[in-house]
Amino acid sequence: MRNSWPPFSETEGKSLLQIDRVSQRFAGLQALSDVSLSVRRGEIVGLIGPNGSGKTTLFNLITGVYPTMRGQILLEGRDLAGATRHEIAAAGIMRTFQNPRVFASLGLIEHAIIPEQVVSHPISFADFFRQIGTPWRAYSPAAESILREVALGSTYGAPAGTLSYGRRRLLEIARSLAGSPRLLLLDEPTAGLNSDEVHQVHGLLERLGGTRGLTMIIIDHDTEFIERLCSRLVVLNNGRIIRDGLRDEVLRDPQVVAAYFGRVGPCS
Amino acid sequence: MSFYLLLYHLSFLGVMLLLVQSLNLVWKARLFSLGHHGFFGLGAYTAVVMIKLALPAGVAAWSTTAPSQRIVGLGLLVACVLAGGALAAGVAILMGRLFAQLRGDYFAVATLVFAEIVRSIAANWDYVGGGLGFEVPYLVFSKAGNERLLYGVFYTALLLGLNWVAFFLIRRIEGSVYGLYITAVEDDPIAAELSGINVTRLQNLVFVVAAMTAGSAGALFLHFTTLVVPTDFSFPNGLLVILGVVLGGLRSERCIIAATFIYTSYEVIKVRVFGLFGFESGVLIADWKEVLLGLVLIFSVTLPAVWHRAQIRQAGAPRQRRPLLAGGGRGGSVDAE
Repeated sequence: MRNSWPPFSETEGKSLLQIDRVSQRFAGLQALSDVSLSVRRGEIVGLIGPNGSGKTTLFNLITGVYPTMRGQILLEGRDLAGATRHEIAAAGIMRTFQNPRVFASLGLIEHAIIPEQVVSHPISFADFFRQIGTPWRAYSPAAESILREVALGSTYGAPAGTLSYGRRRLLEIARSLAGSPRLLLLDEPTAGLNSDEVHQVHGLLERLGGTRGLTMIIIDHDTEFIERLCSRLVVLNNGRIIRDGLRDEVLRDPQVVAAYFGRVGPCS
Repeated sequence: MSFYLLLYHLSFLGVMLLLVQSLNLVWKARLFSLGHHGFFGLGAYTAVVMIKLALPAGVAAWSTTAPSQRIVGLGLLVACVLAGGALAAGVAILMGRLFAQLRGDYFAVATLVFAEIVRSIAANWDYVGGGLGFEVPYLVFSKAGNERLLYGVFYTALLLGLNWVAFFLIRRIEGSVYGLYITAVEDDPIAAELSGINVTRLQNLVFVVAAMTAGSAGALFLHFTTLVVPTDFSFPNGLLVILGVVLGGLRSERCIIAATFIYTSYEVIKVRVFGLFGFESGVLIADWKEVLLGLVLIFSVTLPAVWHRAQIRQAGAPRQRRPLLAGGGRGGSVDAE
C-alpha cells in the first residue's frame, strides 16, 4: 500500500493535501459546506474557528472517520474516496484526538511500535505466521527513539491509562509520528495542558516542522500558541472557510474578529 | 474408579480450556461470538465422517488388537484432529466474509445461528447417526479391561498436550505485535484503525485461529466420550464456554483457566460424588442443582477477589491495587504521577 505511493522528490512543490468543495451534513446540521483547502508540503497550517465551526469534522473527513459524500479529498493527487481509515493512515495521514485516545492497557513503547509495524507490514495471514515467532520487544529500540523525541522517557513501563492528561497528548503525538506520517493532523494539542506542557508541545512541533519538514494542520484555541507556530491560518465559521491567508492579515481581519468575539458595532 | 474420574475430569477440563482460551481471544478482538461451540461441533462431526469413511466395514468390525491397526488408528486420530481444525478454519474464513458487515449484537446472533445450524444438520443427518448419535470406535487402545487405563491416560495426555500447544501458541500471539494489535483494538478500535490497523482483517484472523483450535478440540472430544450426540453442541453447552471467559474476567489467561477449573470441577463432582450419598440426597441435589451452580458461580467470582484483598492486608502497606478479575495486568510497574 504505502510503497505504491510516489517518492517524495516527485511530489516536491505540489500540494500534499487538496480538499475540493467538501460538504458534510448531520441530520439537520450543515457541518461543512463547500470547503476547499490546499496544503503544500512542509507547511504548518493553523485551523481556527469558534466551537462547532466544523474543524474536527474536517479532520474526521480527511482521516476517513466519516466517508466523504460530497466533494473530493486528494493526498498527493490521489483521491481518498473509498479508502478505508487504515488505508488512509497507512498512506501517511496520522492524527491526534481532541480527547486523547490512547490504548489504556498498553505501555508507551507499544504505542510507538504498533503504527510503525502495521504501516510497514500490513496485517495478513502470511505476516501473522511470520510475526508470531518474533516478540514485539524486538522492535523496542526504534520505538524508544521516538519516545525520546517527544520527551516521554521517564514513564516507559507504565500503562498509558495511568498517564496524566498532558502525557497522553504527547503519547498521541508519538504514536502518530511512529507511523511516519506525511501529514500530521493535531486536534487541540494544548487543550487541558499547563503552561509548561504547552511550552513543551510547542518546542516539539517546532522541531518537527523545522528539522523534519513535517506537514501539519493544527486545530487550537490558544491563539498565542497558533500564532507562534503557524505562518498560515485558515478560519472556519459555521462550516465555511471565511478566511485563508497569512497569520497577521487573518488575525486582523474584522470578519475573523467578529466570528470569535462577536460583532463590534457602534452601539457596543 | 476414582482414577478414571480424575482422568475424565482432566480430559473434560482440557477440552473446556481449549474452547475457553480461544473464545477469549475472539472476544478480546471485539468479536462478540456466541457460537464458538459450533466450531467445536463441526470439528467433532468432521471426525465422525472421517472415521466412517476410513472404516468402511463398520465400526463394530473394528477391533484394536493387532499393532498395525493401532498405528492406523493413531494416524486416523491425528488426521481427524487436523481435518477438524482445518474445516472449522475454512468455515470461519467463509463466515468472516459473510459477516464482515455485522458487528456487535448482530454478529453474536449470526454466530449463534451458525452453531444451531451445525447442531441441526448433525441431528438430521442419518449418516452420522442423527439424533441418536454416533458410537466412536476405540482407535488406538481397545476397551478390553487391561487396556482401559492405558486408554484413559492416553487421551488425557493427548488433550493436555494439545492444551499446552494451544496455550503456548496463544502466549506467542500475545507476545508478538499481533498481541499488541489485538489489545489496541480492545482498548480503542477507532484509534487503532486510525493508527493503521486493518481491524476487520485482524478480527478475521483471530476468528479463524480460534475456530481452528475449537475444531481440533471437537475432533478430540469424541474419542474420550466415545459417544457423540448433537445435543453436546447445543447452546447450554456453549454457555459453559462463555461462562469460563466471563468468570475469568474477560482478559487474563490465568484467571480464565482457574475459573474454568472451578466450575468444571463442580460439574464433575455434582455428577459423580453426590450420587454416593444415595438416592434421596441425589434427588435433593438434582432439585437444587441450579441454585448450587449459582452459588458456585458467585464464589468463583468473589473468592479470588477476597483472597487478593487478604493478601494485601497481610502485606501491611496499602498497595496500588491491580484488579484481579478485571485483568489489565500488563506493562510493568504502575508509575502514576
